[in-house]
Amino acid sequence: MTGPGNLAEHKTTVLLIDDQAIVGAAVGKMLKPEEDITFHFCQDPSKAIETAVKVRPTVILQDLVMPQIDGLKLVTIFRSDENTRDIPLIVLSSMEEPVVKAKAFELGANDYLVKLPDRIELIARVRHHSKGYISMLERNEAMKRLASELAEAAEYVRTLLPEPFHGNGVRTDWRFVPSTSLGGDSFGYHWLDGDDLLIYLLDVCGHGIGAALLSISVMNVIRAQTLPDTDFRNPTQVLGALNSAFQMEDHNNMYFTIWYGVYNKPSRSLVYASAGHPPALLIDSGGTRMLRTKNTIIGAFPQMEYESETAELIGPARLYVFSDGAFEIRIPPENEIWPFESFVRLMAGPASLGNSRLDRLWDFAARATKSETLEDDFSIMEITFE
Amino acid sequence: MEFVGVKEPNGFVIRLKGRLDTVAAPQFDEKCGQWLEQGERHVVLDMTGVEYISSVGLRSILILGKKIMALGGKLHISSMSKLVGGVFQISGFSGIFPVFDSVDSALAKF
Repeated sequence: MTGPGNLAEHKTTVLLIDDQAIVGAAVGKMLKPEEDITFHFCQDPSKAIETAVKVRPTVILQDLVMPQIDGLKLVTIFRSDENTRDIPLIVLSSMEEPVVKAKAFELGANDYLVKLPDRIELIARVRHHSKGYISMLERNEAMKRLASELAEAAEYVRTLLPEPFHGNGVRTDWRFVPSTSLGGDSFGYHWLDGDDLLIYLLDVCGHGIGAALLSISVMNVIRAQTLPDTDFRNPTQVLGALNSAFQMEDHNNMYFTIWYGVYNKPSRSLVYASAGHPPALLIDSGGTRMLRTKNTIIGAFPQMEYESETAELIGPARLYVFSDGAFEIRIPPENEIWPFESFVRLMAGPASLGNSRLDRLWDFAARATKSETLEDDFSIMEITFE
Repeated sequence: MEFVGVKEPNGFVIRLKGRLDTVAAPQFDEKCGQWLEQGERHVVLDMTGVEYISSVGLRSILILGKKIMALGGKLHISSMSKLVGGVFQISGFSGIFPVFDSVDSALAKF
């Protein structure tokens, strides 16, 4: 387990770049009584970046007039190197020169001191700039760790998703691209017996690990079929039982939407119910049908009644079950939402050789948003009934 | 997001403007909590200015509605755009809270 204490500790560290040894000695002497400040001195400006990478200063003091290099040029070098671009930089000069000062700020310096500065002022500025920089480092580290934990959680969700299969007259496939903040999507399918295939997809409100945890809990209940007195072939019963088991007040005020269906192979019928969820698309010889029932979300109120409906499959059929993240795609530059009708047309349209409709949809989303992840989880299943 | 509360003779109107999403929801919850503490019970959410509502925004409205119901009041929703109305319909919220075309008709039904 990890905790907040695992963030790296950053000590106030000063790096002075100055060709004059006497300046180095003087600044070192000024800072020496400050036990929490570490001081490094680099007399050779050609080694400034190398030294900064090594000692990782929280503030850089840099002379502007040195024989080996133009001080303003060195400011540019510090600002263009990814190792030093964010480190506060205080330029030192032997006199007040407004034009030089302005130029230094323009190039990215953070402060300006006439050397040798007053000891108290120098320490105050070093502490001020270091504090801001250390806060930024800590925030970046926290964000990085959070992103890593979200990626780990997303990977865990992925391991719970079923493998695509082909057999018993059914072929399955899916795409799952979690959002950067991890939405609450999960889905699955499994044969209840030789005749009945259970298919479901759920979406917990909100994002983050909390939403993913609830999503996984619900998924495990469906996978293990652990709802009491519930026939998992009966969507009405399942949604009612889920609603009783997952009231939002008992689950950190989170609710979820779900599409739940059971395909019966001998009768080629699909009994389904949705609760607050977008419709599934059924595409067969009869055309394109939107499979949705007008049930409310799961978890809002106890003792809700849930209705189901049945669709008869006509000839070979394809079923798409998805979350809103699969079609609510914002198209730049106006960020308009892609019309649902366009999504339906794409999924119902003809297949192209060597490129599944799922890939086409994802390619479109990634291209349109110019992003490898979307605002919400992108989850979609394709079930083909032969 | 902007929230403005207006007291009318037969109810309290909350005008929303912007996106009701993860960022705005905590402020919305806090503001609505204050209005309920002040004694408001019959509330109209005027959604005219709402450009987008996320699942977290829906959750905030649901929690507000449940609080109001527990206090013996009513929550009416009015003036949703086609986009927001679509989200309401799919989520089943239009079956939970009465939806009206205008603030006046929402107030008239208290």
